[in-house]
Amino acid sequence: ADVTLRFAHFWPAVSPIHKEVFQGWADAIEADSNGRIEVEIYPGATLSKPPAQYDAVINRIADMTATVQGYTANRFPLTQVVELPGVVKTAEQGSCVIQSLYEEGLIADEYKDTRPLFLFTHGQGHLHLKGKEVREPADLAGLRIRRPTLVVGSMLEGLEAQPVGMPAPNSYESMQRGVINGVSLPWEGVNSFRINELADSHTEIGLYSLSFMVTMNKSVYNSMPDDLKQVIDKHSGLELAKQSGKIFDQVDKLGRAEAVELGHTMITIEGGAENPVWKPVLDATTENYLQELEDKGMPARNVYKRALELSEQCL
Amino acid sequence: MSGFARLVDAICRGMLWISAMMLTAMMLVVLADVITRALFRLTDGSFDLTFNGGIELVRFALLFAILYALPWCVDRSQVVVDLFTENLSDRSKAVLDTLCFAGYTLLALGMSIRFWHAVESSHLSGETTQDLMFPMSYIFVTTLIGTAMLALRSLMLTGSQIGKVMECKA
Amino acid sequence: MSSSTIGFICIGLMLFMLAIRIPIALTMAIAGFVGFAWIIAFDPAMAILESAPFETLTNYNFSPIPMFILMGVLASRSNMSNQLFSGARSLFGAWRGGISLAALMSCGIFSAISGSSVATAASMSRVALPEMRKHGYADSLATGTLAAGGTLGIMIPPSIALLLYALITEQSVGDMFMAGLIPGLLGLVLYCVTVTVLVRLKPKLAQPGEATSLVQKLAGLKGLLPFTSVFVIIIGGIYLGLFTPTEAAAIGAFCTLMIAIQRGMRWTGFVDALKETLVTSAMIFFMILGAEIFGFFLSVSRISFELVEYVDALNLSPFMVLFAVLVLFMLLGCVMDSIAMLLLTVPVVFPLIQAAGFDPVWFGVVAVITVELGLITPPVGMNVFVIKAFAKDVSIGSIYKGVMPFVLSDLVRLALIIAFPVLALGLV
Ligand code: NA
Ligand code: NA
Repeated sequence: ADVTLRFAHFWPAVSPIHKEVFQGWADAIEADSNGRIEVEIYPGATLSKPPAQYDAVINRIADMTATVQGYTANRFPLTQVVELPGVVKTAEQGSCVIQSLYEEGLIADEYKDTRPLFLFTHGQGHLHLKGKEVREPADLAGLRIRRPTLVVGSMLEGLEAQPVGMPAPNSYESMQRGVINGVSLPWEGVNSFRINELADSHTEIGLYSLSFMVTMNKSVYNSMPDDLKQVIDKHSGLELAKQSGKIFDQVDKLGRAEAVELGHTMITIEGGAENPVWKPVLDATTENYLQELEDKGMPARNVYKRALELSEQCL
Repeated sequence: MSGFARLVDAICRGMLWISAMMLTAMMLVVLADVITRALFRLTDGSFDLTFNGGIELVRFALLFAILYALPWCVDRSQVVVDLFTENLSDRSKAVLDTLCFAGYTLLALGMSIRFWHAVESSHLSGETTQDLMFPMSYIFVTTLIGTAMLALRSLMLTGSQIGKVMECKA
Repeated sequence: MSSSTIGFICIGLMLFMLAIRIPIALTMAIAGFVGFAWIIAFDPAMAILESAPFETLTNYNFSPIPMFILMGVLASRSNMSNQLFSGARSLFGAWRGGISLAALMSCGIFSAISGSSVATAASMSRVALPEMRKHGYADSLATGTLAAGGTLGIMIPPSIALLLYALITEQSVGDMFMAGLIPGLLGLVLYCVTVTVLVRLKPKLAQPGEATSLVQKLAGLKGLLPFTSVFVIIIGGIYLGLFTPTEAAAIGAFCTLMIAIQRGMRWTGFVDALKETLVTSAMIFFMILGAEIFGFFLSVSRISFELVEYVDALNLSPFMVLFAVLVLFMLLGCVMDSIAMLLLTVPVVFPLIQAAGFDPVWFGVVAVITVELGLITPPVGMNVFVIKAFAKDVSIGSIYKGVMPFVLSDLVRLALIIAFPVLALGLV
């Protein structure tokens, strides 16, 4: 091969996300370049730990990564507007929202350090607990809940839970050891990180949705010959974003079906984040978040407004 | 020993005190976390002294406990395979020790350069820790002090080892 | 040159540096850095010097290591080990070889709150060695007992070795500790059998001690109390869900501190204990850091990947793979420190063992027993060196001679656990 790309991500090698989204992408690239580009995937955070993966790409420890914007707190504040409740309905639609925001230039400044290929989101994030049930906000008081990003954390804090920040792959271990009582994850994450083995109760509420990126080291991209750049470009952008979202939606179904089959307690909050019991707290978090960014001189309300419009258009 | 070397030693001893405090803090934070959680549970939530960020505090206490002990321990905490070199002359052993401290100097220097960059970039990006939202740039500055002192003390030890090599020759 | 060729060259470089007495931590860091820079580029290798120390030292899962060490240091500095030993001794009274048995039992109990073998060997030697020599025990038996008894620290939970294995291979720490319990106790029993057989065969090895009355025996039980209570708090707290296994280390250290204060430990004693803990912790974390840098290099060299393919192509039976790995461990164990060895070899051999279809938790126990053997096998046995420091007039040779029967007993235990995996997995 002319070029070998080291691609680091944190999903386990057995998860459908690794096989279908990332291995699928790698196979397509290798085929379209007639084997001139080889993609070496390092699943399961074997090359770099999740919070450090973005830096690993900047520093070329890895050539590319699929990671979560919010794992590095405060670096992608405008992007994370997408994570607020009510924006994302499904992974496919959410991916369309975030990729469109990027292509319209509203959040592109945050990605200057690397070359993003496509951005996407997972489906709606819910609560999954071991030995506890959450039916109303008060049930969350004092529970230690894994939260993926600051935005989600402040929501949980508003609900009087004790959020503990950790990347998704650490959820299983922490839950098993009792470091946390539960996790906030989409059903896809429940499937990928084997949470159904531990959790016995699930509260479907649609609290949030995470933003992801597949991104590449700039100089690695720039040093490729033009025809190979075109191969990469062909496998970037809106179509790829939506396609990834679609796979996340399918895995969401898998994760949920698994829990139902195991006979876990399923609690569905009527109307999700719009439910009158939950809405005030969640709205307050949204408002706080936007105001905080505005105070720092960022056009957060603008981005949020556009995200809500896209949320409808992308359906 | 030169005055400067003595100063470096004194600073490293001071850092060992910080390490000791961090170790104690680690123990106490866990204790406080466990006790407040138990009280919360026993009183059904009416007596709530629980606090956020316990895990993060332990993580950074571990970082500084170990990092600030390394400069003082670099010549005290090494495991070597002393199998083929038992019968070497004192001079050869001194040469090898010089190499080893020089190696640590370079390693710690490399770390310091990188943490210097980390301070700059985290200052620009305004990145914070996940739970307590403490600016990462502060954490990196504190880390940089640790690695820089490790580099400095290793350098001093390299110097004094070179002295010993010379003595053996004479 | 292919990545794996560079990989093997750098591993060779590392072995060479080990042989010329460069510290293990530094050899791993240098070989890892050079290898990564060679395969990828210099700047990314520099970036590892930031990410490896930061990721390692802020890893919450490593936080029990210094706490386990502190627990052991506090226990040994506050005369708890003293009292433990004399308690155990009065239980055995006039038995031939009774002091050896008491020492072994004390090592076993001490292990229940100490995570490290060297700490166990050092603390118990300080009290038990002079006693045995005073009572006319042969040097070989006295030193051999303590060197071997010390290794119990690494298997009976809590154990730093099992903790590290769990972290490297992503197993649950709780499972690993539970799996270590029976093999650890089995080790203790087999060591006791070894002593009994030895003194039966060669009565000259040990003189009988003074007889003790039942009242004395009961009074002696008091010495076991502080250890038992700390152990009960740790296990009970985890069981009741009051705290997690990770937090248990800090709680245990705090309880031990309280006992130490009650026994007259004051400010300077506490500060000294902290310093001793830091020096030992620094030793371990230096090596973890080196191993982390080396790990980045191992990943991109794709060695373990190719090794698995190579071994697959050999068509070895799973047991041959296991046998080869264990022989490798024993050979390395002759010259290497146990923690360093785990950090160095487990990332490479674990994929092989997994591919051969062995249970990862069970293999962890088997690996730790094998690695633990290295602590007492010549020429480099850390525990033997520790004992030597307390018995300067005994030759290294006679300590190794004294330890050989215990090596044999460890091999028997290893065979038992390989033949009956339920011994390790029964409690998991
Ligand atoms: Na132990
Ligand atoms: Na050995």
